[in-house]
Amino acid sequence: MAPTIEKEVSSKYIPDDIVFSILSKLSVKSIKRFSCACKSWSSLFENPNFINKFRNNLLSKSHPLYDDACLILNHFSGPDYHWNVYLLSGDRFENKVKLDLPPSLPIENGFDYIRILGYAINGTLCIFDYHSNSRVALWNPATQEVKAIPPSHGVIPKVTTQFQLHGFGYDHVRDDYKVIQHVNYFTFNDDPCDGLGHERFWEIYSLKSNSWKKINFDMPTRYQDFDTDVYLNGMCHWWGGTTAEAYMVSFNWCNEDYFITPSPLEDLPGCFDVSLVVLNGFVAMISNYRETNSFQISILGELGVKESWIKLFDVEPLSCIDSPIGAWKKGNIFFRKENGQLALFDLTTGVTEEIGVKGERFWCQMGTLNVLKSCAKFPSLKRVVLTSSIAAVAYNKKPQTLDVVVDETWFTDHDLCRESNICLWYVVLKKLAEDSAWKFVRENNIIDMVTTKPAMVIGPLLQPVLKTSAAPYMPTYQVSKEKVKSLGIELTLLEVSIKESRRLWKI
Amino acid sequence: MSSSTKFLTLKTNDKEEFVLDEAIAIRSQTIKNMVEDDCVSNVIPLPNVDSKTMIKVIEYWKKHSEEGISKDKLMDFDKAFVKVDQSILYALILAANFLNDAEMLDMICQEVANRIKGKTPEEIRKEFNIENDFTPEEEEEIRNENVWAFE
Repeated sequence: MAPTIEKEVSSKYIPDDIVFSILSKLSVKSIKRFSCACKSWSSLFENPNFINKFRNNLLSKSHPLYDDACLILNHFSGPDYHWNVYLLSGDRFENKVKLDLPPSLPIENGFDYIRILGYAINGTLCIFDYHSNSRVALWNPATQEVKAIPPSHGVIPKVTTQFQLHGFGYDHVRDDYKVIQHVNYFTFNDDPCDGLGHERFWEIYSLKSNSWKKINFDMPTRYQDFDTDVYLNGMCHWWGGTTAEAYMVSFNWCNEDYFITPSPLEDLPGCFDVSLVVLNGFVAMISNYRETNSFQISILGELGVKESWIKLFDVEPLSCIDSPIGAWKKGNIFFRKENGQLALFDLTTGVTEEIGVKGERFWCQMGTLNVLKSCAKFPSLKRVVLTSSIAAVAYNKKPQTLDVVVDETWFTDHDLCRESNICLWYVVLKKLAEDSAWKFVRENNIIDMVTTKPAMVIGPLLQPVLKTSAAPYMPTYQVSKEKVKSLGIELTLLEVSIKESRRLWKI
Repeated sequence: MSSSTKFLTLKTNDKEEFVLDEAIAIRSQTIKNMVEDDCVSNVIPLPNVDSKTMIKVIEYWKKHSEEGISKDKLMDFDKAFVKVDQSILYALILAANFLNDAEMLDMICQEVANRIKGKTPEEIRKEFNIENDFTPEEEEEIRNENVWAFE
């Protein structure tokens, strides 16, 4: 072999095109800082070659936000003209499950306009009546738990009060779910309902304390026309401001602080409709130019910095498009078409496809998996006990006679549940929830998971009303402890038996 | 070994020869095109790649061609693979570019990006051998426009 000369390879041999590829993988902040390096880098975001690379990176990256995410669709449709909530999943949204609103919800379907605030977080939805914003509940469709949020401090008898819900979020430091709203009073001269003298204010509800707390700062409220809000990385974002100036307001659930980012558009809001979406991990703004029906998408690089809005997409006018609704995985944008159909527009290919649902405007993501995901982050965690349900096991065609042993190979057959005439969606959901939990555990290889499948639950309830697994077992008789003892039977106290069950779950 | 397995001989610029399963070697689009155009004689010369770099490239190709290997395992492999000196990393970039292996090139570009993300404009000029072509006034102006990016 000929002797080789060790040659140091330095970056000066790297072609410009590859240097652009490297730069396109940086954050907006780093790119803007490096724009001070030389002239040709000073306007990278105006360079079509660079912006193309940056876009492709952004769209092709898989973001953990979308792992096993379902689409929650809330729409108003005939023939009963109710608001319905659907859970859509699958590559083409072929799995569509209608979520029945629990009867204990303080909101009446068919009478109220039901809306979902923000995104579903760890499987929990914040649901409220759109008209008054005064009846709000947290609802977990998988566990069927409902928690009605108590009324605000701001209610003053005989005074017309305007509640404006702004966001629903999770405070991961305190492990608490929170809702933020603005309370305002209308003033009418010489009217007994005059709210003059009552100061408007912001307040935050905490699930842990189950109460509202006033906060002393003056953030811009939601601008009515921009009726969108998004949730990302422990913050919720909404459009605020006046007709003259628009801002994005970002509220941090942990430190209860906020950022204001001025809009990048100068001529707002006259000819643009603006919506906020989450585009593969970025807060993004879709501005829809009403006259031509063309739209632009800008992402935000840094909270609070107007200059960090980067216009990434300029989409030619699309026919039959009514309004953008939200973003999905890999740069797919949902639109409502003029015929009411929900369509998915692919930013990479430019193709629009209907997904077979006639819809209104609002949706989010959800999944029981988020709980497991946060568990996986803590190395100290050794085992997860998932309280599933007998519903995830019992519904299949196997015989269930006395001699049959039900073991870990048993699972509900969800095709059977789908076919059956009786509504077994609850069963399907339980089975799917458990399936995905197991899938997560297997793929991540971190957590030791045990599932229990109770058929009946006794003891204090989390929710105010009785549910499937508890309802049929309301105590009808009281048993005398002394009588039982005299028969030679030792009863175990509920607390003791719970403690013992807990010990069972320990490692 | 199945009789259908074909081997290719790759010759690096320091005259070293590597015999490699064709199915693995065609991860390189450049080699794939040569094979498809039937212009492969006995030895494929790789004038832009040295043997030291080629050993790393083949290590990467073999790992990524393993049947049934999990995504997590590949991610761990990639992480360890790029833990090398800057000069080797740049040699790998040039090799991946010449061999036209988009996946590998992308992965290494990401590693370089991770290494430079916190640098100052001065450091980045040095890193990429860039000449500062701003006048002092121009540089001050563009720095003022991007003050937030320095915080």
